[in-house]
Amino acid sequence: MEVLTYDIVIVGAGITGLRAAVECSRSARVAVISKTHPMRAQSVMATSINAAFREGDTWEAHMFDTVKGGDYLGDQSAVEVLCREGAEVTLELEKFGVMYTRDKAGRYADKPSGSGGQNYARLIFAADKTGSFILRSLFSQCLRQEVDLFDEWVVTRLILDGRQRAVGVTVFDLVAGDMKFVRGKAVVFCTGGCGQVYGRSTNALNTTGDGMVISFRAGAVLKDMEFIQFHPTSLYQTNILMSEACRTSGGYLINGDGERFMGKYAPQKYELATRDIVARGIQTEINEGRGIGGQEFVYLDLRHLGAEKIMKYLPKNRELAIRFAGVDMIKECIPIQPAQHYSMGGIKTDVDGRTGLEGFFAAGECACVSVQGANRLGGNSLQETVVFGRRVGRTALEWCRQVGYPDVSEGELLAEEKRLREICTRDNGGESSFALKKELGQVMIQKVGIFRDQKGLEEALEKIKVLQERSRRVGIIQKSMLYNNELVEILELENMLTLAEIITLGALRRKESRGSHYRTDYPDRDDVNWLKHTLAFSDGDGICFDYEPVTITRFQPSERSY
Amino acid sequence: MQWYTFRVQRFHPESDYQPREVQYEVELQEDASVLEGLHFIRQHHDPSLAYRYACRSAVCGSCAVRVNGEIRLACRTKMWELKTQIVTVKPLPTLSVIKDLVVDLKPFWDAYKKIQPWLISAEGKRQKEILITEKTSKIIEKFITCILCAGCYAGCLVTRRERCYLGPQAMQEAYRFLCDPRDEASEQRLKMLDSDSGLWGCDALFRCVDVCPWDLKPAESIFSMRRMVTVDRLKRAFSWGRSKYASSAQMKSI
Repeated sequence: MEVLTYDIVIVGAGITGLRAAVECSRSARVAVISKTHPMRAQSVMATSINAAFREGDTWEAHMFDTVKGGDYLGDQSAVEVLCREGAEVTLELEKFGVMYTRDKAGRYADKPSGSGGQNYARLIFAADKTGSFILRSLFSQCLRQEVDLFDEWVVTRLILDGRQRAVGVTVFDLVAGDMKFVRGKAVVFCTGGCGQVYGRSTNALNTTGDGMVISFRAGAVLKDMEFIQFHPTSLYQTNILMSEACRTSGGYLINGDGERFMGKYAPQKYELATRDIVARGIQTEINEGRGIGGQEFVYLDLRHLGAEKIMKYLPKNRELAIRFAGVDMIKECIPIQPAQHYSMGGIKTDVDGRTGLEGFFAAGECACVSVQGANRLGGNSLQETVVFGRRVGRTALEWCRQVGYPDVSEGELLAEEKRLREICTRDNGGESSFALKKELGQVMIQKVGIFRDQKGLEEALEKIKVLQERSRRVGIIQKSMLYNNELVEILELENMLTLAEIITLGALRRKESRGSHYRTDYPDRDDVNWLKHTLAFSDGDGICFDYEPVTITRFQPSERSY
Repeated sequence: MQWYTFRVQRFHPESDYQPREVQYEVELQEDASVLEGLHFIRQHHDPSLAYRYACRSAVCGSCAVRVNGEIRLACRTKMWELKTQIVTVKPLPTLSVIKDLVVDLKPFWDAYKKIQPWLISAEGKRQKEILITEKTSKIIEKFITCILCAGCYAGCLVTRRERCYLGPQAMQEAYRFLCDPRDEASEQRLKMLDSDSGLWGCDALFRCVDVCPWDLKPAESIFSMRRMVTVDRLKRAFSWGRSKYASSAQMKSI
């Protein structure tokens, strides 16, 4: 197996990974490994970023909105870091080439309101292509700093030495069709979310939670995995995202009776309540037969904004709706339904990206600091990527300066090589990864989705177990390893099945409703018993659970209404 | 639902001397995409078919291929708009094929890097935003619509012929920095592009304009920069005025 050696090995080339690379590559040898080319990362979809810097706004106000939006589950010491540093890190991006949309006075343009659940219009944006612009600028910056970018390399395992220190990752190089070992003093995971575990998701088709599961297997702790965000507005059937900008620009949600129904669920904020509340509102309308024509969608109405506003705030969204739903939002209503969008949980880290495993760090959506709590606000994910991307870059660099290159036992690598060879050569037992993925997606949407209950979760768990069993009978037809996408799909499927089990078990155990986790059999928030984080870790065979208290510094939990 | 015949160009470097066309019967909704057709082939006919995809919503730029001879994003091309039941899918031209529909984009990314697609300016820590006109920010935003799918690079007849030609995307990217008042390297950028492998290599066939999935016009950027260089050269040749490449301030008025 070919071995490459770097100071810092970053896995994942979205905004977090590239921001970390920009931070540490001036004084260390850095490799960024990713499943796709960096410019294809999920980050391209993000549309705006929060920054509390305008007059009348403060980081404390942003912090309060974030804590309340997260239903008081976020660790407030971490939220404080996010909101204190957020503005500076966001403005700093202009140095790398990002140009946010300006108003007539030449300053950052405002939106009509903040994202759902915010009391201040603190979003800044580059039309609705902010994520794409930030990613592109950081990618170019990495080119400038001669970072070694390896794309279409699929990480298969995080390798530890005998003392539980991370020493590198094994990868399957799709284009060369072989295995490699990338050794590093520090390994940083910025691998993003796990949307494809759900049948309806706004995420890219390769967002399969690989990083979370690989670290879980290596001994890292996953935190709050049952908290899955559903975005209220995705196009009916294709589930392509109509971004929150549609609601912050003033869009209405209309049910089959022609009623603007959000007032029932959020009497003050209407459509501008947090995503969990709006998604539940829409799903309730649909479940109670008030979808458009009784079908599984409601309308997003933007017509009253007029062409000028739509072209200013929503050009890309308009284009996508025309293209993928055949409706022009200037003249017509858009059929939408909620879909999985984001994972609040992830690899447990501190505010500097440390995971508890020596030499192993994480940041971004794959990590849980936790700043997003039980529900994330719009604009906070981009902010998390850049704030904690920068921080994790610094931490890894500091760690690198203190330690030498680790020794790696050949046995570990050979074992991993053997595992993959076994997958490649096992008999085709008549199962296909496509079919299993589809079945998993359906059960997760139906039973571990927006509304959950004991019976449904138990059924889901049973089904997941069956699927796990069946997944061992998925074989690989092609013999050549060159661009062997079947192998990648099997690895992804295994990861998703493990993650689905962790999510479902966490949801089953949490007997309350908080943020995005809503149990119809326990509809109230229960601070006495459940104001705590779920921790999931592996004991070698099974999944173990533990809990830890939430850090509360400034804001005592109180009732959450919008 | 409707049955379509997909004719897909296959090539495996370990077993094929040259590309071959394989035919598959595919059942799809009329408003399904060509990408979904490719997924269908993998699910029902041959899971080894290789192609790139990610976002399936025309924003990541992974899935540019040739559909019935035209360069398009597979995810964004709906079956009904093809107006035929026979769909040929081939990899992007110009670039070498790794396997089936997957091409080696290295020449495209090399060209992108060559034009130095980053801000060249004296860096300083800033507390507040720099004032920039609304008009300028709109111009820059337009360029960022480009998703780097490499369609224009592959479709350009000059890149096919001249290996060192930068191609439409890279030059449009360079122009984006010329339009950026924060960038201080206009002169240097134009000097670099003032060559046969840059601005003067373009044959004005406007294939780049035809293929862009987001309706950008890379050729327009090339011609704007040609004009800047030409005006400057005339000034120098006939002593018409100050001999210097156009400054970014002048550029904004173009």
